[in-house]
Amino acid sequence: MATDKGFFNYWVVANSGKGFITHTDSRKFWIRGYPGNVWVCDDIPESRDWGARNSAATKTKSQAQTIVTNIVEAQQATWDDLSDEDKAASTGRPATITLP
Amino acid sequence: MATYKEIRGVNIQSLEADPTAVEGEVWYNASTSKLKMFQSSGSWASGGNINANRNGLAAAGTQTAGLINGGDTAPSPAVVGNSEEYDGSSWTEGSNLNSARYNHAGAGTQTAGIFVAGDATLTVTETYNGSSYTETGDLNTGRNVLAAAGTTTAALAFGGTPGSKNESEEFNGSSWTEGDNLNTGSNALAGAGIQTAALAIAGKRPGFSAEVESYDGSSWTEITNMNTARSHLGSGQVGTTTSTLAFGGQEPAASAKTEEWDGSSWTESGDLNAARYSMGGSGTQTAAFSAGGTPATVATEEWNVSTSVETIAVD
Repeated sequence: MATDKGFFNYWVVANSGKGFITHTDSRKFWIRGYPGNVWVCDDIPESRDWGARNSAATKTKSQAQTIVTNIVEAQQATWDDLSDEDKAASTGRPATITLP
Repeated sequence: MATYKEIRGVNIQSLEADPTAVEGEVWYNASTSKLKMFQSSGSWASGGNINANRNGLAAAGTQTAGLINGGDTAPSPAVVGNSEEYDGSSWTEGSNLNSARYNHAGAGTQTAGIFVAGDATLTVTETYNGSSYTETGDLNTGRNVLAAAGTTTAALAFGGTPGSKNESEEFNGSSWTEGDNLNTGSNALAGAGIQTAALAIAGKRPGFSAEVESYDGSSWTEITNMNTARSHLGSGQVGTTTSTLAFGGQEPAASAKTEEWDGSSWTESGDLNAARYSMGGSGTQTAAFSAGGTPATVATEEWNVSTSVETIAVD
């Protein structure tokens, strides 16, 4: 289910595994991961606590979008270079991602 | 405005203490003068990361005794046979598959798992006993992005590609025999249940589909569609035909959506924390895991349902 808040924090941090996002986090705020270790959260105190707890680097929306776009464009270029046979067997050209 | 009795057919009970309730039940606690309801909600949380990122992997088991193997590591193509076991906290490398593969299907448990087909038209079946893989009877029709359900002695494999296959096959512990065909051929679908009570969930038929079919051991029947059409999704494949979970997939963009099945309808529930497809997923409707997938990741997410008694505010 999508967030309805409309104001977001943008973070970069590698998923450290167990405890990185807890069930309590998931229930308190909307969070979504993207390529490049980019995470977007509702901008509320609990999500800011999550960023601090995980030593996440704050980014502007533009900076975060650039990270994601660069990775997706590299994936798209790799896919474009595949043979027709490999393209047909793949799950398709990686989709462009626009951050909320 | 309709009354509660007009909607539910009963009056709200007045009780001295909170009862052992079921989802959605409402009552009045006379001792505390509070109107209350029982609700459950599911959410995803981070689990231990897998040791090697991969997509197109297969999974079996439960959230606290899970198993994944095979897949295609990024950057593609690098097909692996690596197998990892999960204890609910961390993944440990186990014995490798005898035949490295991706886009295969898995079913069973961490100590009695069955893994079938994959790659382009592989027919190889392997079983895992908790320590090593053993090759057993081959599937009759080679395929990939198929689904499976059941156990090492009573399994079911169905759907897949090339094309959108409708064939299903039943395994008796040593060999595969043809079962009834799906009503609509499907590939990149999810499976759940056992050989005599299985679900074929969504996939490509050949476009992105929300269709679901149920198998009773002799024939497939179309049942209620999911809310969101998708392929390459994960499922709580240890679930049953009356209680399972479907998550992630391609819509065609990567999806984070989770839906719960109660035997009659699909309900959208808490999203994955990162949209993904071609992951390995297994477990039940109340405790499942999703590992790896596309976009390339080592992440595991754990699904759990919590229950609570809520006080209803009355204006």
